[in-house]
Formats: sequence, C-alpha cells, structure tokens
Amino acid sequence: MIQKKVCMLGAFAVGKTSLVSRYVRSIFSDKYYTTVGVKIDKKLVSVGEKEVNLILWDLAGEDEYQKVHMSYLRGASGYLLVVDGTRPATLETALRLQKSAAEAVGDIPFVLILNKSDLTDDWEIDGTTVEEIASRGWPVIRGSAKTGEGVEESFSLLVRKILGE
Amino acid sequence: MSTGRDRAQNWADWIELRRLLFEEELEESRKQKEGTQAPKLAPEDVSELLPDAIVHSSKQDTKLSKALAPIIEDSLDTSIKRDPQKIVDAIFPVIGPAIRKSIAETLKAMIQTINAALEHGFSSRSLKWRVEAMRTGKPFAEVALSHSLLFRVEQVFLIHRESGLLLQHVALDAVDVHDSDMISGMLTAIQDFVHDSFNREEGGSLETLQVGELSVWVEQGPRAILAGVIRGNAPQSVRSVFKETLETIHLEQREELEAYTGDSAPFRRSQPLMRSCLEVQTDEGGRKSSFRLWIMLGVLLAVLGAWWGVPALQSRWRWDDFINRVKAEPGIVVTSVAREDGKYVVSGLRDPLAANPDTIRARAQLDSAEIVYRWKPYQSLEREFVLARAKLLLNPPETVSLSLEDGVLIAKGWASHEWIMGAQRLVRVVSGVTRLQDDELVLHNLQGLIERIERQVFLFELGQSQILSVQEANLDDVARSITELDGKAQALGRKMYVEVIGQTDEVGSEEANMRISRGRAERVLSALIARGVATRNISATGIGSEGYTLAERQDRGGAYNRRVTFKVTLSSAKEGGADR
Repeated sequence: MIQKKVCMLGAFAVGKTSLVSRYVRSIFSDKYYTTVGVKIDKKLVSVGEKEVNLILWDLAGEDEYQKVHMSYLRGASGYLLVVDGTRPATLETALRLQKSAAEAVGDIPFVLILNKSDLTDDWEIDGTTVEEIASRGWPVIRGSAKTGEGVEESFSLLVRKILGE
Repeated sequence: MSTGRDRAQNWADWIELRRLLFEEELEESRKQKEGTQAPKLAPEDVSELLPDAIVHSSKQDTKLSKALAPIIEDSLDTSIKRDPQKIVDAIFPVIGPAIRKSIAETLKAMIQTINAALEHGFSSRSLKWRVEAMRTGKPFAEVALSHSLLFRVEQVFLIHRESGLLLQHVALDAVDVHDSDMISGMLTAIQDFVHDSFNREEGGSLETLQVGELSVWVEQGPRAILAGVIRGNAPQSVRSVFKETLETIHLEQREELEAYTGDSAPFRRSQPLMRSCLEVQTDEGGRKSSFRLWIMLGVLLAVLGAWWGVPALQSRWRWDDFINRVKAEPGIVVTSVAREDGKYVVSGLRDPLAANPDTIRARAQLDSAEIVYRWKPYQSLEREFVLARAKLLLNPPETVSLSLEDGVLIAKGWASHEWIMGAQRLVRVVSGVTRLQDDELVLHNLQGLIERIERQVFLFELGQSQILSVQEANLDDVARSITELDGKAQALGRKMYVEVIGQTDEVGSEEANMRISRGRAERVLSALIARGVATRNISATGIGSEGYTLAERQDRGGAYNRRVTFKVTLSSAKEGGADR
C-alpha cells in the first residue's frame, strides 16, 4: 500500500482538528499541538482501486503568537488549507500559509476547505471572494465539522491530485 | 671593406632568392619540423594514453599526485558548495566505520586502564566474569560492563527521513504494536521539533528519547532514519549495530531511497537486517557459552566425583543410614549428631539393655575411630525393655514364662513357692511394672497332686449315675489327694477348690442329659464327702453333652463321654481365695 504524508494548515481555531477528527484514526492526544505543534493521524483513502494510507500531519493553527513550523511540511505530498468561513482573517492567513508552504516544499497539490458551511448565514467570506480564489485554479470545497459535509470529498480530491489523476 | 659589405649583401640576396623560390616548401618543412617536436593529439588518443600515463607517472614519482591535489581539492570544494548532499551520500557508508574504528581504538586503551583498576576487585561475581573473560578472550572490563547492562531491543523503525513515512518496521513477537506508521510520523515530528527548537545548527539531531524504562535510540542517515525502541540499559555497542544496519541499508537500497514516493514494498528486503538489530537483545552467544560452561562444569564434577566424590558420597550415605538405624533402635534416643575434630559425635540417651550401637556401626562399615558416643543412661519404658528388666531382676525358672500387659507382669507355668514370693517382692522395684499376676502360675510341689486329681475319670453306663464298683478304689485315691492338697495349700496361704464335672453322651434330649450329668457329678461329690473331703472346697456341676473335643467324640464314641472329671483351682498367694 502506498503511503503519503499530508499536512493540514490553517489559522488558529478554524476547526481543522474537529473537521477531520471523526474521519481519521488517532492515537495521540491533542496535547501535542501545544507541545510539539503537530499531531499525527492516519486516514485511509480509496481512489478507484487504489488505497492510499495518508499520514496526516495536523499542524497547530497559526495565530499571532505561534507560527506554523514550516519544517513539518518537508516531505509532504500535499496539504489541506482550512479556512473558517465566518472569519475572513482566516482566509488571509491561509493565503499567507499557502505562500510559505509553496516556498518551503514547492508546488505540491493542496485543497482549500471553507469550514463551517453549516453556518452559511454567518459567513463573512462572500461568494465573489470564493470565486476569485477558485479562479486561481485552487480547488475549493465547502465543509462542515458538524455535518461532515465535504470532508471525505476533500481527502479524495487531494489524493487524486497527488496521484496525478 | 667594400668586399665585406658586398658579401653580406650577396648573402641577403641569396636568402631573399631562396625565400622567393622555396617559400611554400620551407613553410611545409618548418611545420613538419614543429610537428615532430610536439605532435598534435586528438582527445580520443589522450584518453587512451592517460590511464597508462598516470600509472607510469605514479610509479616514477609523486609529481602527478602533487600536481593533481589542488585541482581535486578545488573540485571537491566546488561540488560541496553547489550540492553537499551528493558528497554526503557518497561518503556516508565509509565515514561511519572509519570513525568507529578510531573510537574503538581509543576505547580499547581506556578499557585496559579500567581493567587494571578492577583487577583488584574480587567477589564471586567478578570471579565468574573473570572466567568468562579468560574463556572469551575479552577484556575483563568489557565482560563486567556487558553483564551490568540488561536490555532488549523491542522494535526497530526504518523511517524515510524527509517525509517521516514508515519504510519498514520490525518488532519482537511479544511486543504488541499498532499504528507504527503514525508513531513513525510522530517520531519524525518530534525530531523536527527538537531540531527546530533547540539545535538549529546543521548536523545536530535528536539521538535519544527516554521514557521510564523505555528509550528510543535514533540513528540518522542521509535518506533514512533508524529508530530502535529499547527496554532497559543498553550498551553503546547497540548503537553501533544500529549505525551499521543503517549504513548497509543506505548502501544496498540507495536508489530505492532516492526514488521513494510512498511505496514501502521494496524495503521489505531490509527486514532481515533490521531483525538482526532485534537479535541484539537475545544475547544468545553469551547464553550458549554459559550453557557450555555449565556442561564443562558438569563434566569436571563427574571426573572429580569418580576420583574423590563418589566414595565420599557413599561414606556419607552409609553414615546417614547408620544414624537412622541407631535412631530406630529401641532404648536409644539420639539427641544430637555433630562433627568435632574430624569425628562424628553422637549424643543421647541409652537404656543399658539396648543394643550396642557399635554393632550397628560395624554393619554399616564405618570406622569406629571416626565415631564418639556420648550416651546418658536411662530406663526405657518400652514394653520389651520393661520385660527384659523384669526378667533380669526376677530371674524366673525355665518353667515360667513372663509377659506384660498394660503394666501388669503375667507369669505362667510352674514355680516354687519361694520364687513366687520373692518375685512378688522384687516386682515392685521394676519400673514400668505395676504388679505381678501369678494366677496361672502353679506351685511346683502342688503340681503333682493337682495332676493326679485331674487325671481321674469316672465312667458310667448309658443313662445311669451309678458309680461302678471297679472305681471305688479311684474314689479313695481322689479323696485322699484332695485332702492332702487342701492341707498343703492352706500351709502356703492359698486356697484350693475342686469342681466335680458331670457329662453325658449326645444321645437323648439336652434337658435329660443335663439332669443325668448333674446326677453323676453329685453322686461322685457325695462319695468324696463321704470319704472325708471338706465340703467348703468342693462343688458339683453337670454340663450335659457339652464340652467335648472333636477327638473325644470321634475316638471314644459315647462311652467315654458318660463321665465325671475334676478341675482343681488354687487361689493366688496374694488374694488368698479362689476366684474361679
């Protein structure tokens, strides 16, 4: 079976962890975010007849006090950028993170998830912004930690991109 | 002067003429001349000549090496500046062993120093280690260190350095492992974390993680990391094993490592190598050799045993057997067995009548010189000793047999009145005897009379009680004997009693027979009383057709059973009266 390292990036409290927590196998405690700054989970994704074992590096969210350790991206085959739809600032962070990531590991596949799709009414990121992002050729998926919407989709999209399909 | 100038002019003209006439040829000739001096070679020709030229040059002197040195230095320098990884990759498998060799040399020297220091230490354990050191040829300090370290390598991870993805994982069977792929990732993350947080300088990395009894030893290679999970205190030699394993993997699977994109299957090839890291823990070599040591020890013992041990053991067994026999002997109580001045000292109590332990010793084939007895005399209350003591003291005649029941000494047979009286007195000092019972003891001098009376038989006709006239004389004899016995018994303080017993044959009813038998006895009793026998000492009884022996019934038929006989009883001396 093929293994791939995949990172999850995003601003602080965009709900990265809760977005995937139901869909991954986890053996490490959340304490690792605050200590080591990363937590490793595992996610088995089937694409067509292929099964890929994703080793998911869930990086601690970036805020004004804590920077993401970009060295954790080394060797990653792709990453998920998580944005909180109700907080426009998190999009800015995501854009910045994407830039840093591209600098650190080069042009590797990624998928942007707009989290909290269940709270669309509170969304402050309007359609035009999203369209503007999508127009860059970035894959954007609306997701919800609450309903589980878009989670599996994001993983399989990322895997397909990684495998070059 | 003019002639000289003309000549010079002529020479110049001549040269000029030659130039004009042969310029092309001259040029060609010059070129040919130059060509022979420095032939123009094509690169292909040089490449053919170069290896030989280098060999030739290196044989002659070191000029070439000297010439090349700065160039090579420069190229290496340039190469490293451009991409150090290539050089690192290239020399990684070489540099490890080189460094280790140098360190090993240094350590060896150090161990020899420690050796000298430890040389003076002496304990059973160090002696064992010393034997092992002698046997294996290792320095003593190394043996001592290796025994002080108890550990096992439980798991080995081979991790792709860049991505932290697990390439291969092996674990001891007993170790339950799940999600080694996630652990591999986390281990790498922690490595990165430590590296980023504390050690930003190139080359530094996390080498050991310690959690209680467990520690994780990490070896870094250019493309892969080897991490071993160790329980206990492992010696540094384990790290060398890890290092060598990682180097070999780099050497053998370099291409796979470089081309890795997530498929770990090719690295299954390295599993046996990684397993060899696990085997570090079993320390089989040491155990096997210690097993061998035990066998050697066993053989040595066997040889020693044949030479010295077996006889000693046999003697020991004989001794144990002897002591057990002595302990089992009645009248002997062994309280202690000790060894003093090379001799066995057996202490305890011994009844003077008990068997001599020395005869037991002789049977056990033990040397009397080896044994000292310390007995204190005592009187055993065991039955046989009481009896033996009584016999010794009472000294009974051969016609008397003595036995003991519940402390009562019972005498049977015949004895003189004097002996009986003496025995009654003496018996009181025999410990273990409460009294002497002499009821069944018959006095010697009365015995004849008793037998004379009891031998008499009076026979009768069928159904009759009439004493036959031919037996009148017998009646007189019985009467006389009874009277005499009565007199003698009284003189000895005893009482005599005669029972006249009537019997019948088996013909007729039991009731009639009883009556007839009683009648016969009474008839004889009357006849005796009529002849002067005192009535107080005599009685009559009829027992019908009972009381015959089988022989009496068969041999004599009914005739002999129609009879009257006598049973004489003497009271014991003490009681002074008949009790039956």
